[in-house]
Amino acid sequence: MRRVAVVGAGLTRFMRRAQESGTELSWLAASQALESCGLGLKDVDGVIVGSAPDAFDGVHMKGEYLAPGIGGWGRPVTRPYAGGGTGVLVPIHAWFHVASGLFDVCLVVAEEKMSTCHPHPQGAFVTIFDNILERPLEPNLIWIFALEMQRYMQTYGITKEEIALVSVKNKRNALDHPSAQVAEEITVKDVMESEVMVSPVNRLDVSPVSDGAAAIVLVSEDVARRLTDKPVWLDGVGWNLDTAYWTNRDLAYPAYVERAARMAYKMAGITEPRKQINIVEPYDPFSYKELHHLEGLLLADKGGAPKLTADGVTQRNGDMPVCPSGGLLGVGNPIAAAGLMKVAEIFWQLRGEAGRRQVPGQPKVGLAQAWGDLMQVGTVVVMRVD
Amino acid sequence: MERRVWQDRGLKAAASMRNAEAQDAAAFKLRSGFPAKIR
Repeated sequence: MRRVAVVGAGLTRFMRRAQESGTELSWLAASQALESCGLGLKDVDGVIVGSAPDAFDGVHMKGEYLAPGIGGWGRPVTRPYAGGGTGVLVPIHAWFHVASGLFDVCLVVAEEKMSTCHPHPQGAFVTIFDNILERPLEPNLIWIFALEMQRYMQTYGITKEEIALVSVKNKRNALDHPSAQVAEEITVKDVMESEVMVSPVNRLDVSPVSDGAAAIVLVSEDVARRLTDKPVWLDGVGWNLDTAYWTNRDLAYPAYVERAARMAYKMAGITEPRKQINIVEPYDPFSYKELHHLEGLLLADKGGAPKLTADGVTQRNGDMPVCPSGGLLGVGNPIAAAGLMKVAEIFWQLRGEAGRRQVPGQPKVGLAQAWGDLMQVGTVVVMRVD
Repeated sequence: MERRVWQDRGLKAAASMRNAEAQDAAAFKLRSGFPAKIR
């Protein structure tokens, strides 16, 4: 296998948009990513494109629909899919192509445009559950998250105030992000007093509906050495699926994230993740999910992530900065694009190019993770600078 | 009659989309110093 590097990244603002189509958003991110590393479309061997369920955009065959915006015409294009985990699954698929020697330069684009979708994207969730055993209960997305959050809190004796600290941190971090949709200075009290969606989930525990796109450029080692003196190596990839039946999973612990992380750690030579990983971008569509995922990634003890948050360890200037971008809770959640935004954030942070968001101490190893599908998939990448 | 109903719904949906975009765009304007390249 060849070593693979990220050499460029691009991102649109995350916001609700009435004007641009998803194809146009993809073009904005893709052209910015190529320009950032001095490449053009003529240099691209193949394209990997990601988007969460077609129903979120209300456009079926999204890969084909987005093709003009991603430089897809006349090239090999693949659209891998793992629901919300797609944003980190697309660089994994691009890694296959470059590591195997098939492509030297691979453009990776993820897009979502949810705000203008009719019927509402929630409509997609009516159809994802088992039509005999689960659909009669009429579950919706937030209903399932509320069950999981409740189970997590009950198993480890965690309070809602401890979980609310994640929203406070991420929305504050996002104040420094140029693409952020819902950056603000809030308090735990604000979270607790915001509208109850489905108890115990409040409005400020949830990421917003967003439109946006992200893109990165993956290249082989020899190309990376020619293009830049600051390649960011994609040294470990991992992904894992659990049962689609939420009644059959341990809702207090994301075992699938642990399995994905172990796969990526083994590939990247990470034996002591808490010591070796400097900076983390776990998936945080809901406040408790950041904590849940930190534990699944073996970066905190089971039930121990809230204490790390309360102690300031996960702040941007803490020992293990978590979601220094502002995450989905602060920057926004155009689903697949949000996952790839996390990969782009680790790329900028490891190169020291994150501007006002830059974590101190020159981090060398970072991790980005996404989660989703039927809330049972984990996707993980480990990135490193020399 | 039916056409009128759909036209009304379409106009309302378009107005709602424009409002959402305007709200988010206003939030960006409140925070200064962003690179002009990011759209």
